[in-house]
Amino acid sequence: MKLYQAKKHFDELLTQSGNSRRASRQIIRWLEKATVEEIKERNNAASLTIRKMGISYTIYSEGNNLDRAWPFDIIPRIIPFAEWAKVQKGLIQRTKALNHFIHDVYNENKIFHEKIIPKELVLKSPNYRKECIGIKPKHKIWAHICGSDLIRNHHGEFQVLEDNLRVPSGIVYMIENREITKRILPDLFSDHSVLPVDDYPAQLYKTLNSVSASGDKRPCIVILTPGIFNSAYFEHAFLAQQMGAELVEGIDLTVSRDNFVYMKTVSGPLKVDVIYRRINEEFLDPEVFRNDSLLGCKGLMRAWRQGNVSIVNAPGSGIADDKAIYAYVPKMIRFYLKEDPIIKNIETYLCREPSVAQYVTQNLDKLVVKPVNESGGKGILIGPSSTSTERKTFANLLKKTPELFVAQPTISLSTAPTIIQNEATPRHIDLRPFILSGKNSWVSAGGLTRVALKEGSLIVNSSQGGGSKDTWIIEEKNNAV
Amino acid sequence: MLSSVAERLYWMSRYLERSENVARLVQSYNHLIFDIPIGAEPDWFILIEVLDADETFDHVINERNETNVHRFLISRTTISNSITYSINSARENARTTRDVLPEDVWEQANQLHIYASENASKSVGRRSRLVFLEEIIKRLQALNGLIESSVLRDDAYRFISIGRKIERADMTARILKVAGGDILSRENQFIDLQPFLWGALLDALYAKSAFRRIKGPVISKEQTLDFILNCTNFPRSISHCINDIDREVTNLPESSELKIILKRQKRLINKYNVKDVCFEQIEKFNKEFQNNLSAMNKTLYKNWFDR
Repeated sequence: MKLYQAKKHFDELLTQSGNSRRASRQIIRWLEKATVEEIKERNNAASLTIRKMGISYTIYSEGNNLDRAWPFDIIPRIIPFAEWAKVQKGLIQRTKALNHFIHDVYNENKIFHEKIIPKELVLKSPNYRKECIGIKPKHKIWAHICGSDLIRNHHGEFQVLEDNLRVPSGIVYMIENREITKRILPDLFSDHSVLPVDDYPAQLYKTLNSVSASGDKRPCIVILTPGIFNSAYFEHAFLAQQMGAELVEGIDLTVSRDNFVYMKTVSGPLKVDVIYRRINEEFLDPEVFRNDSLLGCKGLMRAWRQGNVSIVNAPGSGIADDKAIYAYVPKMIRFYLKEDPIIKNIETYLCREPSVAQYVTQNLDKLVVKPVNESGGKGILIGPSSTSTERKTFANLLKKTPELFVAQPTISLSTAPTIIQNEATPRHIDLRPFILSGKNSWVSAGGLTRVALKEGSLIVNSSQGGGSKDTWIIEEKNNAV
Repeated sequence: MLSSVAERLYWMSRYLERSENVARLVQSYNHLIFDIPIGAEPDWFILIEVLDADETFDHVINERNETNVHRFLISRTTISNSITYSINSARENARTTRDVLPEDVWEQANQLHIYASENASKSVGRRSRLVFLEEIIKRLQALNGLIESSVLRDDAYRFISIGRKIERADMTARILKVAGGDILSRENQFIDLQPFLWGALLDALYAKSAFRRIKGPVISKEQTLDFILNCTNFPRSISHCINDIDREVTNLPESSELKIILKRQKRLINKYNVKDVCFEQIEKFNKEFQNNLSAMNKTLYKNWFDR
């Protein structure tokens, strides 16, 4: 199989001259030797495994066709351990600062007093919840589970694209991707020393346990899912199964008069200590947020505020994944931790400044414009590939509600060889590692690598035609040939 | 155990049992028909009558013939008695309870569903039908074996077991009524075929070899009925199913109400006289038995699923 030269973008496995990087020697050698038939065969084996294992995700627009098989690329993405260790440190630093920030916003307001972040930017954000003022969650942790999206710029340097602190998903695919690779590339896998990824559920359990509202050694932990129609239902069920937690829906829960949460079991009501909620907070409690919500449970916020139950991630955490707040994360790190940020941000223009909005409007064809409080790649304008009608729409939006948008220069995402029609071609990728914070902090070994399967595309979201790869953090043997 | 999960496990198990029972019934009936001299064979439509689906059948299908009966039972995805529908529903319930089931159970249920949905519609014809049924039965047996050998014996297992036994008792009683009734109605017509037909009925319930070991090689009406109703050592007999449910229920919280209905079921079985049985007796028994089964179902909802 012929490979390519990575001329335009940084490539994860290949250099500009088309040679393999140090850590990817074996895999490139294997690829070069592979015939089309062999690739086809492994690809088919992968699809079959995915179908058999029932790995699926849901797309809302497909009517009856509830789950779709998970799109998976067989060539793993490789990151040397030494490089990853630095990223891990950077991620822990970042989530620490973010948790400090959320706690500060709802409690002392130090960061406003010191004028590091303009107060009204936070208070006017749709992600700010005044219902959370004065709450002090255990260990002062609000965002227990964080999925930060990392990209590599054209120098090969990792940068944070965004932090997902509400209900980040994707962890199950990280674990299942490894499972698939082991089944279809056992020979290649055993040639490398790859860090395992399947300890995530155990680590998650420890984290949830450490923030339990009760003193029980084995607290009652539930995962609150919106149900089978949610795109991440597969993941909710997987995590519940792996942790031995109960998978509940809103109707399975009740809150008592004295503000404790119970689930309905065959032996009557049972007290719940920790809720890992996989529904957005606006649906969490119809008493406090959206009163038409059928997904949540009346009274959850009362119970939480009284400290009778822990909600993970805590309501209100979304304030820190607002894309306007993102621009201030480096300053937060310096302010709360007195450290320099280890992983860089991407330069971000806040359109709430009239002069900035004007600059952005004039340069729409060069910039990426994002709404501050959306996720999943929705409502984004990618300047260079946009049509004039799309640009007009955004110019209007920027005129009406500039404070709802931020802009960033079009960034270059690194590429990795991806099998498209039985050929290895470069496709853009990103990386979503998962960071757990409770009594202790923990970072996944690697994370979920997402691939934009369309040529030249930068959109990696699975809901918009993205795929995924297994991610190998490998320990290099010094004397390896 | 969450009430909603208990309910889904119960239905997963009922649908698994139903799909196997229907597959087995169709399979053994096909064997029977091939063996009977032309002109004497019973009607294919009896399969629909066993499932009490006459009305639905006539509503969605215009002609009662061999192909249509098999299409209805094998590949219709909207008919709650069809094999495909039952497998889909079992899989859907397994998908929403996979947090309490071993991973392999979900994987096998999913693979079974893939096999059925890919092959059902092309397995209606005589040639491919038996291959399909055999494969479905084999996979269901493997899945049931897996459940028996890997599911923790807690409330989850209890509801699985109760669901299976209720469905099984239900099916056994229906076969007894419709197929047994049909055989009885031919008592004077086909004297030579009687042992053969009762044998086929036993076969549809996996009961032939067990019957022989206990009752010997001669198959008669009385012995067949006695075996299917009362042989507590045979896992598909009605008594065995009811005893099993009774045992599982004992370990559930607040089981007294269900216990009362079970006692009623046992009395009903005990007073059944297999000597000189006629069709009216079978029908009366079945009616009362079915009433009790639906009372059991209601009680399950009242005491556990709807809490």
